[in-house]
Amino acid sequence: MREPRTDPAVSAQLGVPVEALDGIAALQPRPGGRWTLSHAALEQLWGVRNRGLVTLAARRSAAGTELREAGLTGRFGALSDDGERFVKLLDRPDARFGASASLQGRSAHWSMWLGGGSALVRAQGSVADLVDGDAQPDVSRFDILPAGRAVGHLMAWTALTPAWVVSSGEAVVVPTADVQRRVDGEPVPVPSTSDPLVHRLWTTPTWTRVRVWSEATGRGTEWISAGTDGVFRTVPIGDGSSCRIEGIPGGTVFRDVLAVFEATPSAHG
Amino acid sequence: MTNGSGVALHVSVRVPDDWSLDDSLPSTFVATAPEVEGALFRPTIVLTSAPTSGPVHVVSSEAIASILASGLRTQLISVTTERLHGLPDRSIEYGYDGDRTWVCVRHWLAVVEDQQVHVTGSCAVEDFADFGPLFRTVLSTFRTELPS
Repeated sequence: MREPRTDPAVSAQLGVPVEALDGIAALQPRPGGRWTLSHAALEQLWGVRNRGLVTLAARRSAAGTELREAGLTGRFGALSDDGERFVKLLDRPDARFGASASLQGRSAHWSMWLGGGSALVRAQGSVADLVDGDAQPDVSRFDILPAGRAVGHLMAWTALTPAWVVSSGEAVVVPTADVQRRVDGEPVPVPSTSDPLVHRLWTTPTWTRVRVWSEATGRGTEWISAGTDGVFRTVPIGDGSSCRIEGIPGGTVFRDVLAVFEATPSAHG
Repeated sequence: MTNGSGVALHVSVRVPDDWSLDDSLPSTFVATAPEVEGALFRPTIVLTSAPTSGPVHVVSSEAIASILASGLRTQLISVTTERLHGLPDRSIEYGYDGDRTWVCVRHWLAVVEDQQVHVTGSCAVEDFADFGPLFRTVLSTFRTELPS
């Protein structure tokens, strides 16, 4: 039996050997998408929705070629069956959900248009893309999925990955502004702490702020991801100028995301 | 509620009476929820046991590697330890793309004596809020008995 790599800090804190979880992230799925479209192609698709035919110039434009190659329009520029489903969900959804992520002044976005048990999902970048520094601001990946699968698509987009959450019992309180400065990539001194996991969390290269919300209910959830070093929330203290850093397990994040969807009964059509 | 037992260590959990049971495979017990018309996925609980010479962190690492190698676009969500029933254990949560939904899985594993025991509960993401408490109840009925 091969001995796995252990996590020294967590093992020391718990007093027993504990497996390292930081190798999992690289093996996690990224959000897929059947159609990769530029903003111009999306605008053209939207414009085509009420017209049977489009001009030759529009069909032969870069956007028109993109739509045809994606299979969303046919030979004469009109919507294909997939194109019809696409624009119907976009135009008349039963509910809409969104997510955004920000890191060092850059952002990624995720959207979902739900209708009749299906969902159109759109990913403009992803949390993993932000962390990797990959930016394709003009391109979105789209797919139409069963509603439940769209939740999985969102989880892949968030790059949520397991990390140990072990509290030493020491409350870590920091200026709230320092957390945003850290998300923005500014150098911020490590707070005074004897907890090696807090030290590790603070010194991880990037923090990404992630938000998920329902447009119908306004309900949402938010967390900060330190990648393989974990996920945390900030709990305001007093007038809010200071906050407590609270590590949370991935399972809690997942349940909070589901609660955003469950607030709309048709979300699980 | 019905008992299902693995063979080697006489491990058991209790599942609701109306679930279908299958213990035709050695050291494996499969319980499936009643069929519901239009349901996207039938909730399932699987109990297995097997010999191990490794401690829980080794068993957990192997389980994680096997989950990631499943080829189902599996996303791990969390790994925790709760010492349920006072045992060295792990709870691993993950999801994967099913045909018609995202399937959510809670995989509890523990090392008992020289055996590794796994209890895995799967459900559609649509059923997750209802299935979670049921799975916790099933885990609370986990019992071990030394063979006589």
